[in-house]
Amino acid sequence: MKQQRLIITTTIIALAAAMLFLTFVEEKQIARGDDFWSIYFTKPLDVSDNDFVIDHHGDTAYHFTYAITSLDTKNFEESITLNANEKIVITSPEIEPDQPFTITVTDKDGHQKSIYRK
Amino acid sequence: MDTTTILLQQSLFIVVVFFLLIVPGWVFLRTLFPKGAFEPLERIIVSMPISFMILTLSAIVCDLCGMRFDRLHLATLIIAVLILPFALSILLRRYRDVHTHATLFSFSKKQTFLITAIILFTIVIKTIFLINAIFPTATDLGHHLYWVEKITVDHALPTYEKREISMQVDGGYSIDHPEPIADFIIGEHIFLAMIKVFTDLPVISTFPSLTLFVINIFTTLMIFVFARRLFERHTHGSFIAIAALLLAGPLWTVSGAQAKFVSGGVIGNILGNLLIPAILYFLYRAFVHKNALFLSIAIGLGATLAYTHHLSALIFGYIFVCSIAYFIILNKEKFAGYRRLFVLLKEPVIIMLFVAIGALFILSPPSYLDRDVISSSVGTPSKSTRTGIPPTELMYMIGDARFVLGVIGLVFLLTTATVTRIRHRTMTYVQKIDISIYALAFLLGWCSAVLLMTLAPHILQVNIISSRIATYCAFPLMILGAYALIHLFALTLHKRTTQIFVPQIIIYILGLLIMTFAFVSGLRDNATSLNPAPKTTAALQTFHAGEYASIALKNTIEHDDAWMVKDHNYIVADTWLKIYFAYDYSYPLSRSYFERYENNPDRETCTREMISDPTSDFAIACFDQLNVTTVLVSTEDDATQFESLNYFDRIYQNDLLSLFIRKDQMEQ
Repeated sequence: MKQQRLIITTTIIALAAAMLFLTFVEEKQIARGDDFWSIYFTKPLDVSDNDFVIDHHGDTAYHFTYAITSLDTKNFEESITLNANEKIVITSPEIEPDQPFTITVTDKDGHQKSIYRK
Repeated sequence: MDTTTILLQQSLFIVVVFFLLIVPGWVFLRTLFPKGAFEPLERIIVSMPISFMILTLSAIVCDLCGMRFDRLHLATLIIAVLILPFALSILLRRYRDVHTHATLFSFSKKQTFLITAIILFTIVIKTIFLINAIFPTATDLGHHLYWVEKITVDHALPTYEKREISMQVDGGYSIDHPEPIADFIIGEHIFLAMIKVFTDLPVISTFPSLTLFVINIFTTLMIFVFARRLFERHTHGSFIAIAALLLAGPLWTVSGAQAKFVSGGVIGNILGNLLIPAILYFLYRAFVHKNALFLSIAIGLGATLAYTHHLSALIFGYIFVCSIAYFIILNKEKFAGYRRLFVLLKEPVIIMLFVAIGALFILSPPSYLDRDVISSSVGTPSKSTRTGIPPTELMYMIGDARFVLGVIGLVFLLTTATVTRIRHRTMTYVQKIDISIYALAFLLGWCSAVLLMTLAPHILQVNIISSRIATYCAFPLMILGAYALIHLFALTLHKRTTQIFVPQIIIYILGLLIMTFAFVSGLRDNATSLNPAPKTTAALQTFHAGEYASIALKNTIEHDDAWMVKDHNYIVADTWLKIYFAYDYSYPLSRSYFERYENNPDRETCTREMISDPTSDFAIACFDQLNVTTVLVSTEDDATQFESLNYFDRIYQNDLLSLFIRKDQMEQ
């Protein structure tokens, strides 16, 4: 009986320990893998609302430059620094209705992303 | 999330998992049977399939009665299933009598050390594999967890149906009304939904894989318990069970139906692998102890299997028929042998049989119990992948040493069975060789059925992909291989070896060589099955895009006028996107693997063309007719097609993915 209880107890403790370990492994993988940034419109279906978000997933502060271009003219440009895992909502300047425009964001390493309404 | 929160969350999860998957079964067995019917280790292990049966069947019954699937009602249900066995034990007291060996699971200190070491080794190896496979990205798991999410969102068991794209008479396309799908069965999702309700953990997390991990370990232990029972009268029965644990545990513990199925989310198979030996265990005990309660439980487990996995249920059906056939062949007592079995048809068995048949065929038939589905699975194999696989391929799939040892064990047992049948002796002769006729029938029936279904399916009229059935062969071969191993070693110890002309030392060296072969083969298979590093970053970006799209497009989705199409070829973990929307199993629509369109000329091609060539007339017509307004694609592979178009705006971009929306769908 004593031997059986030892087998049962050891198995359950080992299983519980493995489950906890794998959970922490997954958290670490998420922390390591959560290293990207994105841009998106806050209200993509509302053409009168052109506010957008720069969403930074990373564990260090990052520098971004965003530019709003309309009819091949750069209307607006600004630089910002986002802290680790920070996102910011940027209010676009007034753009004429039905006028195509592009929002281009460039990070400190030169990687670019863009969202636009044509 | 900080460490303390994770620790608390996971501690709750571990408690809930062990409580739900062990306690109901443990209380059921402890209450309904006298203490000596199960030894403590045996009862804990067997409790898991019993708990699964109780939770699944009671949830189905309660759903039929309109019970809401939420925490309060589930807690009430759990309390009820814990109390019910006490009432049943009074009603069924005259069926409770079971005489059994009190020391069957009593091991020496060395044996206990060996068993514990094997179990720990198994858990460690599987854990090492899961390090690179625990992050949720598996396609199958994503499909299954959509239904788990649906249960918890709708607070009811789902109707398994989906909307398909179909061609109309005029050549146009439309998205049909929901049609039933047979791929999913309720038993695969109830237990996960219960865990989610009690722990509040998101489905996109480790909890589903960790739950399957626990079930997989207990499957290994179930093989150990069943082997011990089958060889309960064998002089070296303990060693056979330990050898079965070795062959089922740390060796070949990743590939096949083991840890890879855990990370891959092959839920039905994993549950089937637990339930099949559990059903055989209770059938065996019913026939050996002549106890109707065991038989009732076996019927209940059979019904649970039917509500959980269609392939496993079909395979069990063949196993049962083959076992009966072997019993008929081996039974030398003629009518007396059958009468002993018919004596088991007492009230609990008859009631359970009627309830199971009534539930499965009238009250709540699983979606696969459909004439078309059944006729497509039974009959002459229709494709080359269903005509059986060569023995060499089977050997590779389940482990060469394990296969060889299993076949040797099968030959040993078949020889034993043949000799006892030919010689005109009574059943006591079988007892002299320390294995009962029922153990012979079940072991030989189990092995023969799965081997025939894999190697020569046309004999049994099975029309299923043979490689899917092959993984089931490992389990009976584990027990037979263990029998062969110990039998070989026993030859070196038995007094009779003085009559064998081969020197004992040669048999000893041969045995050691076999063990080395088994270990090297099994551990090498583990090593070569390990995954590369997980695609965590890619998956996180898919989830981020999915979360954004589900919020941004929520209103339009609910009005059914804004379908989304995404790509399956280049987007990691794309099948998990449907969980964010929880709208329809088919939402978002998916451009499947390219070869699937080529292999099936009747398949719709809208989903391919809308992404591959969105400017073609056909694609434009598909966009209009199917109301597809948004497209999620890999920026590097497919965004170019959309960037040049004036009527697609990009509304979201991350490192890997772009989300486009058709301009005319936006508010003016």
